[in-house]
Amino acid sequence: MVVPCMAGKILIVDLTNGKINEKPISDEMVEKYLGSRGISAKILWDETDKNTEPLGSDNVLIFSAGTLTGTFAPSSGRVTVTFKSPTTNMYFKSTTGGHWGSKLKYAGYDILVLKGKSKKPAYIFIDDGKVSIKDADHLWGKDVRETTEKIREELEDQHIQVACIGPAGENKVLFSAIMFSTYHAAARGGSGAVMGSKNVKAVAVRGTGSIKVANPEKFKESAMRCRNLIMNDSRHPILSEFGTAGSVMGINLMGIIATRNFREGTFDVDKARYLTGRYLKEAGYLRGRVGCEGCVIGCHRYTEFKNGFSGGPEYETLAVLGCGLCIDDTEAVLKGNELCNLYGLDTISTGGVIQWAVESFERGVLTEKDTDGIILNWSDSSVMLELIKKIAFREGIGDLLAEGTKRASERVGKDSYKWAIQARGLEQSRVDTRGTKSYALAFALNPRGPDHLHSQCIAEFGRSKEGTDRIKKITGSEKYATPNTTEKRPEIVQWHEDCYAATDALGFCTLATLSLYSFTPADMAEIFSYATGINMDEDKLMKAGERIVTLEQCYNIKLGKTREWHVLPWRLMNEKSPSEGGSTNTKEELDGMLDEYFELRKWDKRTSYPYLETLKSLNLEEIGDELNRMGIKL
Amino acid sequence: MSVLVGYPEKCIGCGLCERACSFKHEKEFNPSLSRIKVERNESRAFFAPVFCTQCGYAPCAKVCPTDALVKNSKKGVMEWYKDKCIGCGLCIPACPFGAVMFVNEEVIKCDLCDGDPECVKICPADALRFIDARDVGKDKRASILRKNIEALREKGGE
Repeated sequence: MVVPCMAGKILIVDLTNGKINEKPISDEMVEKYLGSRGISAKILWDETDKNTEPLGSDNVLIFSAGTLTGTFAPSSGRVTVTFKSPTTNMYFKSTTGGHWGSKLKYAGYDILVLKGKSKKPAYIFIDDGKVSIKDADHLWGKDVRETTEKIREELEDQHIQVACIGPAGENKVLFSAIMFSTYHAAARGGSGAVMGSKNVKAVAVRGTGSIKVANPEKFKESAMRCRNLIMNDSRHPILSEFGTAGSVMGINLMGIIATRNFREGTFDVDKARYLTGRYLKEAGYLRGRVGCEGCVIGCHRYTEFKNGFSGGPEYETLAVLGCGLCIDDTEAVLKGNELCNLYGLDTISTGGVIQWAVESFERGVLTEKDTDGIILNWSDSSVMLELIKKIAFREGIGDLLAEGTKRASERVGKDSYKWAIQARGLEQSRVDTRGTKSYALAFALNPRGPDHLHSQCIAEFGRSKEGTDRIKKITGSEKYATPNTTEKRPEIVQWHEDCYAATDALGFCTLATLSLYSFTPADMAEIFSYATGINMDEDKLMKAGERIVTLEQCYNIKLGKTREWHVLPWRLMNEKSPSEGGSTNTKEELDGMLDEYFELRKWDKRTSYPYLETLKSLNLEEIGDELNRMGIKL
Repeated sequence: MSVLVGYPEKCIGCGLCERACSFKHEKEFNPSLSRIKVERNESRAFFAPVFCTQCGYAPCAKVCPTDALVKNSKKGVMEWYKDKCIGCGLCIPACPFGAVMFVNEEVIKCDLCDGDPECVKICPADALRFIDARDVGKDKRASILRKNIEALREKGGE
């Protein structure tokens, strides 16, 4: 029987031989892994291993819509993309909003798995259960906006939803994105390169079917109650009015905005003000708010300026292309954002690797000979725009930078690893973890690499009542709602990781659960129960979240990961933060928090491997057995 | 008499109205069965809710050869009578908004949910309102007054 609220099927497209298969999703699977991110992690575990080449035909690219996606559960339209990352050579999940996910479900599928490699450029059209692989020669080379529009034109339906790559994905830039609904990115980890390596330009979906829930009346009651919880949260108006861009100045004033490649923690306030959500609105650049499917927050932006228009920019983009490069020219940053969206690039890594290049030039490690004659300077917006183009098309210096900060610094050598702000291959997102200890621990643990999209501990800042209440619930006291202490960080991170995993799996937006905090795991469990008919409570839901997090950890262990991998970028561990009273993320500090965290999780702190008993208690015996068979002693 | 009004400049394109509509009428989530549609220009982030405006001089009713579409003036709703309908489909192109649809041999169009539209209740962006027809232009009238006062005061200072 199909689980209510789900389409109930996995679609598997083998691009090598053109074979199309379907597999049912059992209710045991949904109860155990909740959906989307959870089930995808298990598929990745089954389909890939140590020898899988991330950009080879043996990698899989898994698109999954949330269990609640397609309903009117508030802010439930998220999609997770799962793959072995060419950036990190590890587990990767990248999530996105937009409108693609619900269409996939209306078309009859919860999950799409792309396998193999097409001989020539192709795109996939899922048309209400009919699946075809279509020629994409005429689309290859086109940017994201044009590709999306062209596909809708040729399929003669403006309501078709498109996920596609731009030139960056085609050129296998290691931090290229898959773009959904034109401006929504599954940005991090090189999902675009994996799609490009399979010669797939796009996945277009037309869905006109239905999603039914187990208990319609209770479901509606619960959905409306949760909608109101989110809309009445004290931080809702800020996210709604200014988007994530609304936090630029606050984070800047806290001294943790990662300026000049993490050498400074604050960008001159007179300059930073041109990069704020408020300024974008008041100067008339903000032309519209955009809501992802079913969203009651609507944080996504749409901006227009003299030479262009695009979705965004988000906080991360403003911080990385603006503050990070010391650029206060609003229109240049908007242009950079537009180019990244059109080429299909992750803005965080793009800006990160450009900052590494500028610092390398400043230190004489890169010279004009390496940069095709371009003089790389801070505060130079033309350099930023030029390098974005060169990266997307792998021209000249762009070919080196397209490999990401880690590989570029390894190739160039000469101590340039010291200002390569990456760990495990991923460029750090724009929070200076030296002043925020939950973030430091979370970033070190994150199986993707040092970023905020695995466990975003905003509550530790103590800036909203709802967040502080959550800290009190986790730790027993609101005094721990401060980012400067290492105390209780393991508890805080563990809770956030589990909640994040459950949120992703259900298709909810983590801004609703882990930024606003009014919408809790108990609420998620309730609405999930009425939707699916599977009995769920807060403890069971959080345990399923723990199961997902543990499985992801085990995947990386299967690939050879050990405790040594849980580090932060060199600069953050070895250079003092320039902010007042600035500290470092010393190894000792990190080790202390990691020890405690591993004990909490019942993982072996010497190796970071979960104990066999731990896996058993999570119903993950088969995972432990397989690791043991491989000679990895738990 | 209350009317359903859409404000495209406020619409964020989340599609919650479509879900609430299909859920109310079909007990399932399916925008293609929704009586209200969000039309979208994604590249320019322009969204507009489209629905039956319950016209006073309704082309759908005028072209209907069997009088299956009749205005219930008490409720303010253009109602469809299944037993009279012959399924000719003339009403569909007649509607200037494209708000009359023919699905599974039935005409579907907005019925204002018996005077309590679900779409209005769920919209998170205040882009849909169900208000007294006389009040629809109230905000605009007030803004004209504001503009006039500002303009005249500026002029007066010269």
